[in-house]
Amino acid sequence: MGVFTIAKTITGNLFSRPPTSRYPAEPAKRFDLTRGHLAFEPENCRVCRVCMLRCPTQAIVVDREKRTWECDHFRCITCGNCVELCPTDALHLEPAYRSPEADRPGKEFHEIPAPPPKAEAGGETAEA
Amino acid sequence: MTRQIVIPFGPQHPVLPEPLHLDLVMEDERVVEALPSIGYVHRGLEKLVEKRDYKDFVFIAERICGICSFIHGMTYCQAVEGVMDLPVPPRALYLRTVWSELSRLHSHLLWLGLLADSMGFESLFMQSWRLREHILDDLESTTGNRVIQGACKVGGVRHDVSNEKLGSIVAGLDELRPKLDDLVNVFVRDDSVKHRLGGLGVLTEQQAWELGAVGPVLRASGVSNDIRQIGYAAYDELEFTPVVETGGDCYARTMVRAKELFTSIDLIRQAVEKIPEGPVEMKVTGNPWGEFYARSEQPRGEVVHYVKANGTKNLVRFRVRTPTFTNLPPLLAAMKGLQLADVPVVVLSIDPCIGCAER
Repeated sequence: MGVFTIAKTITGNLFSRPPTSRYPAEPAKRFDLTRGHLAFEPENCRVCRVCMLRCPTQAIVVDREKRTWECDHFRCITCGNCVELCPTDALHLEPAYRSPEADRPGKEFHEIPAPPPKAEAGGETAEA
Repeated sequence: MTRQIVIPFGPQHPVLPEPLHLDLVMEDERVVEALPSIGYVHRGLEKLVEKRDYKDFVFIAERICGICSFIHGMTYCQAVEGVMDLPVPPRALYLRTVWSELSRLHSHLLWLGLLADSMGFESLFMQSWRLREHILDDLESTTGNRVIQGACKVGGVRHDVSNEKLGSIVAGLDELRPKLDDLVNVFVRDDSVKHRLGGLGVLTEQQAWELGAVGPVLRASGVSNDIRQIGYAAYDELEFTPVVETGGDCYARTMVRAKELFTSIDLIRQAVEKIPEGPVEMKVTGNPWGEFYARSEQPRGEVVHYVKANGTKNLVRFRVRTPTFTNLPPLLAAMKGLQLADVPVVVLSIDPCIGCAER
């Protein structure tokens, strides 16, 4: 009995594929909801700073006067809180993980373009 | 008269994933006394509550532990919801139940693997962890992450899961069931497992109760105590009986966890069958004022989150009593008289999570 059980296991192992995925050959498993990394679109940002104020790890620094947005990806825990709170959808989560970096590790810096001077109040409400 | 010597065990030890340090007072090969010292991974998370918005703190509460993260987040939310007296939508409660049970499944499979590893049963370790991957995939596809799910928020959950997806999770678990049967069979019947674990680190019913053991450690000593029975989340509408063993040894603790895998699968099936339609979150306005104790059953045992708020957006006090912390005194009692070579297995049998215990 014991012999046949092990024989079954051995033949099963001989003719089956390994359970681990063959990563570089086939792409890594990803789902639509996977929180890989935080992505920022400067053109949508209105510099309201809610992402900075509500980030649980204080990874985001927004400067209103200089109009800059900076995220330390080493601090970011990709919780998605800022994505949910952002009123203009300037932030979203990408399913892919960030690739390794050699210089200036983890920091992402953006300058936020100034809003078009014409439609200051009316244009913004229309977009929102 | 034998001379006593002290052998340091940990904080870095091959079987321990986390830094627990024990000074073992030995007489020859026998442990006379074990003196714990903890504090290697203290992060001051409870103090941090004074600096963060109470709604954002759920992400930090979740990171108390890397394995039972979902249940920490959920219990924190329960505590805040208790203070604010929020009627959480029933669908959210059911989804929390499903995710809690998936967490329990993956935590128990992880632990079974670690146990097999601690006694040198490498292939069993790999089989356990292979099955765990299916559960982690379910968690990732429904919440967005494998272990730190981030799915709970104060007033509900952050994502809805479609009924089709829930059905496919149940179907996947049904497929997994025979494989789990095979795996559990090895733990139940294999002679080497029985010899390694049987009669080791025995805690009597009275000892376990008096020393404050919780969770599988308490249930393995014959006390039927499962916090899920108090009916938080949707557990009051689901039927289950706590798994209780009477041996009180490492083998009994293994059996409790192995059998709880199937209880969890049953609970997920029941929850998916009964899940109501409706919203999954509610709008939370205002700040909490008051205090509340929330309890829930983690894979490792009962966890208590205490929250005190004074009407501002920052909480005043947050206190967590984690299962590992309460399971340490029973562990020390169980270790008296052990052989040195058995110490790693007995330490592992309480499923120590030092990240939880020190916060």
